[in-house]
Amino acid sequence: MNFFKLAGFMLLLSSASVLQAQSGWVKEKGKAFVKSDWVFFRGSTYYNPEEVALTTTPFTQATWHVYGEYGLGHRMALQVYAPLLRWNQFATTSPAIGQGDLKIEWKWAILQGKTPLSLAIAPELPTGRAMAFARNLEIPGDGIFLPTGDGEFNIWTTLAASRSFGRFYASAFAAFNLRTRYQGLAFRHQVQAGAEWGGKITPALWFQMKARVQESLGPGRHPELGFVRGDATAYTGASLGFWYEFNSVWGISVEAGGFFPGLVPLRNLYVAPSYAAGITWQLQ
Amino acid sequence: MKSIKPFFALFAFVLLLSACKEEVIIDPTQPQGTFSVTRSGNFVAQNGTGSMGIAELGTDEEGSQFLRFGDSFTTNFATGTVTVYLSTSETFTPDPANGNPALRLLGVTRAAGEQYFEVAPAAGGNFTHVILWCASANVPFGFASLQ
Repeated sequence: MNFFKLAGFMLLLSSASVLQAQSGWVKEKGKAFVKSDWVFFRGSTYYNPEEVALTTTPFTQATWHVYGEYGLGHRMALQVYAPLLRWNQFATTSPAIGQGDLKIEWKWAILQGKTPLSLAIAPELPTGRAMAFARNLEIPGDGIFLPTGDGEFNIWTTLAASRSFGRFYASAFAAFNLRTRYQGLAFRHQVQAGAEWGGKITPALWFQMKARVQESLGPGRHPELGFVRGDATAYTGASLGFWYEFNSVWGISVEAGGFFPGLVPLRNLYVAPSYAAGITWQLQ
Repeated sequence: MKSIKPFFALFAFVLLLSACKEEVIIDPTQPQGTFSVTRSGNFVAQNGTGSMGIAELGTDEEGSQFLRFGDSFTTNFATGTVTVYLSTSETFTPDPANGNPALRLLGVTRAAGEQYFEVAPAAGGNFTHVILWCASANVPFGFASLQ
């Protein structure tokens, strides 16, 4: 068993059970979409890098995200994913609070039309608190690092395609995460693949069902990158969400998701339901 | 000028006395004199922490009991600190309602290498193991059986 080969991700990814969308569509020039939401997670079942489930002190993570996309024209769009505030806490510790890692994505429409295909490049900057420390409230002098960012620079490359079917749509994507180093220690690269199915239930209400698989590549060389830095994380995740448009500008969204044994074993990950609620704004 | 000569002489005398007096600082958290080992054991790692090294229980020349980690001691400090317990078994068995009779918290370790933990009052023979424990997450890092 290896509790530590992962955890960054326990800390950085547990809330990602409410999954980010990936599609082949690229925002048209001058149009914009912004979503601000809170994601909440609490769990005590942790799968270590040896895929063994451990019961730990309950761990809570709450994150305030702001996601925005803007059409730049020339088949390009800019997307920003900003975890502005992240709260990590074990039941035995004080909270560790800080901003997360900022991801800035350039998305390009390779193909347009009925089956659009897009390519996105997204550097993720180590803007989070990589050494955020939480004090143990029961034992003086004891504590644990609960970083709000993994401390490394990495680049996501995503290829996505979509297709409309009347009032429904479907998307699929594949992605590669080129990870670098933290304090001289190399992370394992990651791959992802996923699909999304959604559509309009009523003229103002949308649903979205997402599924995603993530795997880390190669053997781990640095156990110290595990528990608090998110190396080796693997999972199959799914989520269900709804988006209600009050008008052409404002809307609200809710989503629930989780991880489960699927195409890959659960590794270096807290497993419990996570929930998100937010507001949306559009410029059309 | 004559009147201040006695003061200079007195000042020089006090300085001389201070120089002759050797200051002895006693650190009660460290063994005094020779440390005699009564029981010892090697750490067994748990959860991939890489815990290793020797743990020794013994007494100093004052009769105080200490736990010593050897020079080669290490564990995974990437998560923060690690708590050190004496235990009546290799399993961490808390029972706070009854005063945790199976556990004795000795302290917190932050670094690899040799270090001492004072055991006061002295632990009985029923404490047969040392446990390394991530107290924040409640995850075992390793144990050593003292024999």
